[in-house]
Amino acid sequence: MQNQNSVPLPPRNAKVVTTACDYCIVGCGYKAYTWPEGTEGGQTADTNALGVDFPVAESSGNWISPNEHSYCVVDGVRHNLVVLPDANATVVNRGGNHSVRGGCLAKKAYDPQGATKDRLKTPMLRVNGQLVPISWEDAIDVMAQVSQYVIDTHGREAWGMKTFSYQYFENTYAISKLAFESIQTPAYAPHDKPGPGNDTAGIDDAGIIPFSASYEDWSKADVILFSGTDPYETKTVAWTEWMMRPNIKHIYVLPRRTTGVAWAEANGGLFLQIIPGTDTILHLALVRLILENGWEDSDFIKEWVANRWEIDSGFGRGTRNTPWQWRTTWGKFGASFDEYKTWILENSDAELANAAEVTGIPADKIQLAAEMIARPIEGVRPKTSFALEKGNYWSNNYLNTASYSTLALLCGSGNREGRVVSRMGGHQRGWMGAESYPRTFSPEKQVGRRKKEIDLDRWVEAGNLRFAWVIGTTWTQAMAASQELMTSFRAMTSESEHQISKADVDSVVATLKARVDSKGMVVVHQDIYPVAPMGTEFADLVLPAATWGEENFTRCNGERRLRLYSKFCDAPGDAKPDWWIIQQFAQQMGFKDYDWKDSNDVFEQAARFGRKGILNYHPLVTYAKQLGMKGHDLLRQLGTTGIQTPVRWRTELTEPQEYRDYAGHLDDPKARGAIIGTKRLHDHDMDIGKPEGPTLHMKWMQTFSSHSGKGLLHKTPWSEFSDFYERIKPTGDELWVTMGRVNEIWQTNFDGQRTKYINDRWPSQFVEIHPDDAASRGIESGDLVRIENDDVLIQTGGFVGVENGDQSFTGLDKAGLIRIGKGSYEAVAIVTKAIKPGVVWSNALDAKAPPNSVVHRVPDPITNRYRFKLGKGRITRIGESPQKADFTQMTFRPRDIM
Amino acid sequence: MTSQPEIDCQATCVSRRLFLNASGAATATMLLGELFPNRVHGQAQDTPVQVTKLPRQKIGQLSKLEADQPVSFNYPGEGELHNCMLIKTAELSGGGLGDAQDIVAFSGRCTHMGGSLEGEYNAEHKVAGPCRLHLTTFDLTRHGMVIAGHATEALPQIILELDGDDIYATGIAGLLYGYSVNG
Repeated sequence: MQNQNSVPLPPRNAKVVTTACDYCIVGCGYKAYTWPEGTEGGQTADTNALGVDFPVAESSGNWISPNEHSYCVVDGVRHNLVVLPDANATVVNRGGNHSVRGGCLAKKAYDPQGATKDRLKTPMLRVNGQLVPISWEDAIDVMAQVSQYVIDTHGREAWGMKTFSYQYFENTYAISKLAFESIQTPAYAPHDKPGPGNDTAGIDDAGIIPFSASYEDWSKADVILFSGTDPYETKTVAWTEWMMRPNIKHIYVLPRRTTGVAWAEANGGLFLQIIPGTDTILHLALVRLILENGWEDSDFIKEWVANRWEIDSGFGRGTRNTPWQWRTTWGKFGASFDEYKTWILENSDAELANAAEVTGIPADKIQLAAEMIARPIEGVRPKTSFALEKGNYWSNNYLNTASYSTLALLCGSGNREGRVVSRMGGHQRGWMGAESYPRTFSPEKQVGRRKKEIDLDRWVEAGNLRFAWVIGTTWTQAMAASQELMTSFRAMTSESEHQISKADVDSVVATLKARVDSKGMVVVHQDIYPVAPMGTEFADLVLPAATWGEENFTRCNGERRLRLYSKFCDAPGDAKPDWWIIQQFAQQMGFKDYDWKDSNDVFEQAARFGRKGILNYHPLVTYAKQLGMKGHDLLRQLGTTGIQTPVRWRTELTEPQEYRDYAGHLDDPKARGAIIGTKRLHDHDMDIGKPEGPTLHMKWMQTFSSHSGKGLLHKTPWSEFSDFYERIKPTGDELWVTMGRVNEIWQTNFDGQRTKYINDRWPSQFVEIHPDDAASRGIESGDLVRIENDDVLIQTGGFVGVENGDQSFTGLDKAGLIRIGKGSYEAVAIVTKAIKPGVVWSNALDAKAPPNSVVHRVPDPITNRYRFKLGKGRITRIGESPQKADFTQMTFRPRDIM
Repeated sequence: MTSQPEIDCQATCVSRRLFLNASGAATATMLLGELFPNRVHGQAQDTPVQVTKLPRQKIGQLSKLEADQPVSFNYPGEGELHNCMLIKTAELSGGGLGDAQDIVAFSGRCTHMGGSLEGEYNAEHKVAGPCRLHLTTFDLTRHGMVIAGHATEALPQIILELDGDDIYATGIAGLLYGYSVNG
């Protein structure tokens, strides 16, 4: 229940800046208004900063709800803060549309008198088990001395980082510069996976860049197939603004009926309620039906799918040190259309009856889905787009993504509006790498192939990491077999006999050196809040970071739209932006070229290193220099529209006005030429002119991202996965434990748990369970339950493969490299028919009750990606939750009411 | 507090001015248990909530209410955003009036972007919505809490009183869509 019944309006003289949402991939445009306490604007247009009369009308986009107002500190003085979706936005969230997450952005601001008052404010050192304040100088000194010792004594691969990959270009550039260029450590992993590299390797291998489409491209489809995602939940505005249209038929492949599914079924769409982990079989069956009926897009295949000669011109010529070489040679995966067709028509896994049995989806629905996505009607092919996200690639990473891209290519999709293939995304695209991952130094190697990226969790558990710098992520709960991983960390840190007892730098360094020499580990945790257990229990040093709104930052959203996230308030206490902290450490270590004065310096330097990537904004920086401006300031001029990367410079724009307005552009008469964004990748018919000035035309801008420029089909034999899958299937009274997200909770709910409104909705972890499964266990909605798995599989070695099959699940098991661990978590039950019988579903990233505890830590052997969605467990009732009888916290109503 | 808008009206002017003049002064912070005596459950009794107290307005009769048949009324005035709904949910409801504590009333405007919830009542689940604009749903048995969707505030709950057979609205908990102060 809302406890506030009015909001102050920003007065005319309120300071206003543009920004974008800090949370999901869509990155809606927002405006932040700040003004001193004790004043407020009036209800007429001429007396408030919004310039509108109150009350505002339906859909005005200018209403300020109580959660869109809060307080922050500006120049040391507490101010009012309103963060409001940009009602004048013409892209992304047109007219001020927004999600519940963005609508609560104001509440994330640091307010010394509010719920965010526990923000980290000063560096802290753990002395005798307690965190005590320490100066930045001493903290950096300790880190540098211990780091140098670890690198010299135990090797660079003993010094590691686990960081966000998305929290702004300025920070990730600094992180990658330090890790990959200066230290050159292979011991690095982003927040959501055990090592660097592709998220959706099978999509990349097909030649399709995962964020190639614009949101408008989806709106031109007749049919959208959604695999492992309902974008209504946590990619909201991409869905409500660009996909929720009665003329677009939606097909969802999920184990759970969500709001988006319910809408689809009410609007001519289809729901394929799948058994977790069986997507590849579904894709194979769909392809086979399409080929059997001749519904494939033959013209497209002839023009855009690689034939055998074209495959061989890029692959299969012996050892090539390319990311995809090893998995596309020897004819195992890569195939021409004819080869693929022969393979699948002989493949009994792809038969409809088998698919219906394995996936749990009725055969008639699979048949109908094939018709909807591919069958021409009166000679006209449906325009079908293919969306995917974590339900697809976090259950059977390589096979699911490779089979999905093959399905899409055969339907003629991948490079035209209305016919796009793209990830929907989770976090925004904020990685700007200064240097490539030093794969040469990685301890991992495929059988007979090149080195591959590290599995950092396995590296930790093997006792090889001695120094870990963790930035902005909840490491253990976000990775598989969470509790087992926590146990390993605890043994190497807080349970080590070498604990700091004096704050004196020399003494601290001596203690920590002794620890790393006795198989222990030193942990530095850098974040905005105290994070359990890494920061609160394991870390020796805790460093306070500045975040969104406290520094000028940049990054792209899910359609590569670059915006400035403006600073509008102070960071708490002595908290600093991550790039600054990296800079201090690097300079203390004696590394060169970290001489940035501000975040714009980092932004401009980083531009040079992103020129060949899809997030290239280098022409924007050179254009700003022509105008005598900072790059950040030019981007500020582009407001919430921003500009879609890769940014291009042209002497004269020939793109139509509509394109310019969508992709973003700047044609300043004071500078030569103009800059413009790029709406879509891979599109041969899109006019991008000739490469001029600083513009780079990469091949993938107008063809697929492959050697030949054509899309690549991949065979995906189920046998690559079936040994693991058969082993992990629930038995007896076990159920599949799978997970995902809900709109109201962003990531670990780090801000939401401090926002009363969000915390009232979700005060606790929850688990959705089907009435049949609940009844047999005596479980009602509102009951507290425990989910336990005493059969959590954990890979313990296998860094280097020698013989064929060494790194398959069977090979690892035979070699004794799979141990069995345990895990459990507690949750409040929600009994609902929305979830498939035999499956339960929880919030993926609840840090207090992580469902990853019951997930196996055996990554996909091809890609080193976890199968997060394929946990299992027994569920038992342990009592009633307080929420069962308290009508102000939680609701147990289903989310699929339509 | 915020200055009040000029009202250009005829018939509703008198009552509306009364309300507007009173609105600032009549805002009170109460405990939920005081606001809905004996009609709040669990630990929620001690939840503080800001309430806009307004002159009583008769909105319906107990004897004429049928289960799951929402009754529309305007409150606190006749403005475009004042449509509200009175519902007998036939289920124990937070703040519910009557012997079964199942009579509640809420604003009929979605607190995401103001879509009208008129006619959008799901009897099986006692839910308002989904709002046709962006599909937000609200649990009417739990003080208008958002179930799924994008509203950044629970549906404002209308405070009810029973006088004989007559049901009166006496105030609002929460902020009505479109307004910066309830009016």
